[in-house]
Amino acid sequence: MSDIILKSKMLSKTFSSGGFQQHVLKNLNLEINKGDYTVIMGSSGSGKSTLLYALSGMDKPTLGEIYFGDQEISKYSNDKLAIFRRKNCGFVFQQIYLINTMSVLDNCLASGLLINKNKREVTKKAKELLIQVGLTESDWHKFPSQLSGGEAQRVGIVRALINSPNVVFADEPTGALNSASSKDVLDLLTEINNKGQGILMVTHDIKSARRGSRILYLKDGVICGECLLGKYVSGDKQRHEKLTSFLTEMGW
Amino acid sequence: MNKIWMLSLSNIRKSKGASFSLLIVITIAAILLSLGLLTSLNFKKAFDNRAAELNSAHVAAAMNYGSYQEQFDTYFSTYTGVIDTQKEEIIFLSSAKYAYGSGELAFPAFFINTSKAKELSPLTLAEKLDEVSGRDIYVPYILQSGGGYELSDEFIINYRDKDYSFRIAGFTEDILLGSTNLGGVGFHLPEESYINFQNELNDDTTNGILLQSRLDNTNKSDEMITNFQKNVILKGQEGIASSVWLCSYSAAKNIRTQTATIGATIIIAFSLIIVLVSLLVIKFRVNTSIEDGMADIGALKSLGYTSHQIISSIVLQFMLIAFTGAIAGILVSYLGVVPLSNMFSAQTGLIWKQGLDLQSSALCFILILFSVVIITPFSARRIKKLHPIIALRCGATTHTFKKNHCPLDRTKGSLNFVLSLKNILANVKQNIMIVIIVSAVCFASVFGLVMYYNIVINDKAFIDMVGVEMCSIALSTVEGVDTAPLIENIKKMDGVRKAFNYNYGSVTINDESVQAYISDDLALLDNNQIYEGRYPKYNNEISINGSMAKKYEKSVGDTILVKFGSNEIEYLITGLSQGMSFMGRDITITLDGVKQMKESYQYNSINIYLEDDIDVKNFISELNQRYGTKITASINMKDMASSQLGAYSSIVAIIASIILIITGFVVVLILYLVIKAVLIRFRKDFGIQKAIGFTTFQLMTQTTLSFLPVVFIGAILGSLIGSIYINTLISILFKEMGVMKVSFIVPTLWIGLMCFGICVISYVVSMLVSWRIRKISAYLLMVE
Repeated sequence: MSDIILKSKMLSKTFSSGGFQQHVLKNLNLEINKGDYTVIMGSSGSGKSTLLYALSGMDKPTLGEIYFGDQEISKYSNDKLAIFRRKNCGFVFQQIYLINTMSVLDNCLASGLLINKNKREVTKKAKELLIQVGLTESDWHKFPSQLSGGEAQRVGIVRALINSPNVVFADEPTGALNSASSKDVLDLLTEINNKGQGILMVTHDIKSARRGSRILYLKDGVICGECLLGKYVSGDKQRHEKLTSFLTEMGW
Repeated sequence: MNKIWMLSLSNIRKSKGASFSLLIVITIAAILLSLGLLTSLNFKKAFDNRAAELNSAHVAAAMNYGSYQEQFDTYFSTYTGVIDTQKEEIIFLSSAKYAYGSGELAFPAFFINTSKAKELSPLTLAEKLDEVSGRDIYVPYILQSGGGYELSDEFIINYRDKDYSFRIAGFTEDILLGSTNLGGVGFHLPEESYINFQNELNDDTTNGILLQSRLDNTNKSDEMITNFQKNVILKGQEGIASSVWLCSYSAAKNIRTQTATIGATIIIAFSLIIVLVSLLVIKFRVNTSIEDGMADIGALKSLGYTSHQIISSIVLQFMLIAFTGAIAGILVSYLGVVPLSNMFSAQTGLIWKQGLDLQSSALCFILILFSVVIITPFSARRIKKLHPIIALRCGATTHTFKKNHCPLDRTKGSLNFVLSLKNILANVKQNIMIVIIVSAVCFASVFGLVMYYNIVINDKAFIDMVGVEMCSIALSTVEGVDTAPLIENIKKMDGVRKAFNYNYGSVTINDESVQAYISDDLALLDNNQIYEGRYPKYNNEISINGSMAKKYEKSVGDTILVKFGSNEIEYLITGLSQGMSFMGRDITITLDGVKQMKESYQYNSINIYLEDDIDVKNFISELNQRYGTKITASINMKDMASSQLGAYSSIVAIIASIILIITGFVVVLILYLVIKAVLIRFRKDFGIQKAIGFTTFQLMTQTTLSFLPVVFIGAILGSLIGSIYINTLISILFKEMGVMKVSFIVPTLWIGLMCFGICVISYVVSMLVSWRIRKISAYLLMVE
């Protein structure tokens, strides 16, 4: 029980538009363990991004409860959720979403300094992380528009990690990248997970999903299957076959 | 053309709030500009029209029988250009006192019997009572608009320490006799009141004559008065010059339209500032709409729209707003004429009714639209250089950020503070615009505040500017009295700070009638009006008003010919003075100096200065008790000044309040426009910041902090420039009236408070407008 970091009870999300209601998530019960690399898969419109953003406190559920540890975050106000996010969550987005008017280093520090006021410590940590993801000193003072997609996403990962979050929420992190950059980013995520960082990723890409240790399949707002793969090992053919077979079973 | 219309209307619909705010700013500019133009182009015309309707005399002379000579009558009937003349018997009081506003006025007063029909300046009543009594009086309209009197009020006139009570039965309109600023006031009495008053006075010296003439050309009125003084009065009996009250149409027009002229100048100047603000806002709006709609511009260009068509749609968009604003402003300005007219009438004593004036409305309309037509294509010219593909990529090549201002790792201060600094430095052009706008409106506010402080709160500098020597009591002595021993005795009375001779009279320079101040004790004056050189000391010296010096091309060290009576003497100019009380036509000379022209000239006026704690009214009573036989009039100057300044005070208070309110309003609108544009432009960044954990309040504070220093700098800059140059500006505005140097007090504390107020308003507005950040959802940003 103590390993569960994130839990939802009867989680529902409904969108209303022009008198029409769309039930995107339906009474979802879900538990995510600390340090896990959980992947949510599903076809377009299945509600996987909605689930990710509800669990991360970026959006509020229509019904149901969400617990982060023993705190019920679904009751939080918007500002309390913001404070919760800065302390507990890191985000990696498909569109990367760096602030274009800030340098690479400032993008990382803007997030880091929200929690730790010690500039020297935060700067040191940001630089270490940037080096870890392969960005050299010459890149730190560049603006996002001067980076390649892969480089920019690596900055996004550093920004997500700067506050040592409990969970990194990744929404299609390789969706906007070419295959080489995608592999770099996935390797990076695997590497940080191996160091104990929990990751919850949404993807519809098998190559990305294969990196996860636990795969959840979402269909019409309901989790209809789960596949446990264990820790990722490069070149593990059985893992790929198991995932493919699971997805086929789910109607992928 | 239809396509351009569609694009323009679509742009307006897309930015309804911003378009509406701009519309408001343009409407305010149009209201002020139209009001200013209406006043400056029509007030004097309305004065002429009203004078024609009233069949007003163009020249008037009033005097008691003792001063009257047959040749005056001849002069008034036979002077070249006179088309009608009129002689009436009147009651003439050389100095009558009555309450006016918060103080008291003391002027020559003329009482005309209304029972006698007359052609020139017939009795015209603006308001009247229906029932009649034996104590009725018709007083000039200015006593209602500026003096605070109403119909049926009791009106008490004090003459030689005796009160005479009347009931106000009506308010008259009279061009030459109906103002408190022309040195004499005319009252009308029905037959019964007239006879009662005459009997009560029971004094033959109060019997007088009023001569009035109408000319074929009003421009001749000044010349007629000057020639009258020069060729008729001054050739006659000694002492007459100062006992005949004279007034010309030109002088009356200048003085009675002065406030409106000054008011119109201030309103036009302020409206031009607001027009400038509108143009800067348009430039900003064009820039932001190009930035925000760059992809749309790219799409339009790729569809085949030319740059000219796209620019035309932007020009049309702002033309539509300017057109609507200008029309609305011009229409509203006509509603504003009524309160403006009421405000002016407190000083002018004129009822100004203004109908539609195509000239000023068209001028206002053209000026605003022309400015917009010029500024909009100029601001939108970069569209020509935008290639479709670059525009479709949202100007990727034009969005290269050159410098990372205030790096977070090296800049001291809290995260929010440093992020705000980054915003300030990253938007220099926008901030310069805000600084210019806030500076401009603050400059105008400083003008309003300084005027208010120096006219309403502490009027010393204003009185100095007008050129009045503010003694406690101005004493006139009976002709032939030796003033030297009288002054010595007055000086010995309790509470007297100083007393000295200070005469007023008329002399002629270059055939122009000029006011002369005569004294040997000029060093004792409280108000030193000399701004270059010094007052005269010797009998061959003179100081002249700076505007006269400019007109006659004279300077200190030059000589000037002065004529008094039949003698003309050349004097050395030792100083240049300022002062607007006689439209800048005054000189100062010593008694010995005057005696060079008229050997028999004597002092007949004394200025008395009392300690602050002395009751002036009691002191005057005591003076009259002790020296009543030697005194003809004693005027409480402080009371008189407060009465006359009262009208100015209320006008200035209203103008200053309007300027301050508009300033606050403009600051609010500008911040609303700019912050809203920023919220739209940086919506994505706000979403990202929210996602990574910034609270709405942090982002609001960040946004507010990025504007507050800019507004503060603008406020300080505008206030500083205003404080430094305000006296120069006022002296330029009033130069034509004889004001050469102004020393208005700059109320630093007030200005500081105004800056603080603007910053507080800006803080509140910024927080309120950026409260919209709460609606920016990090989640929606991700799923868009």
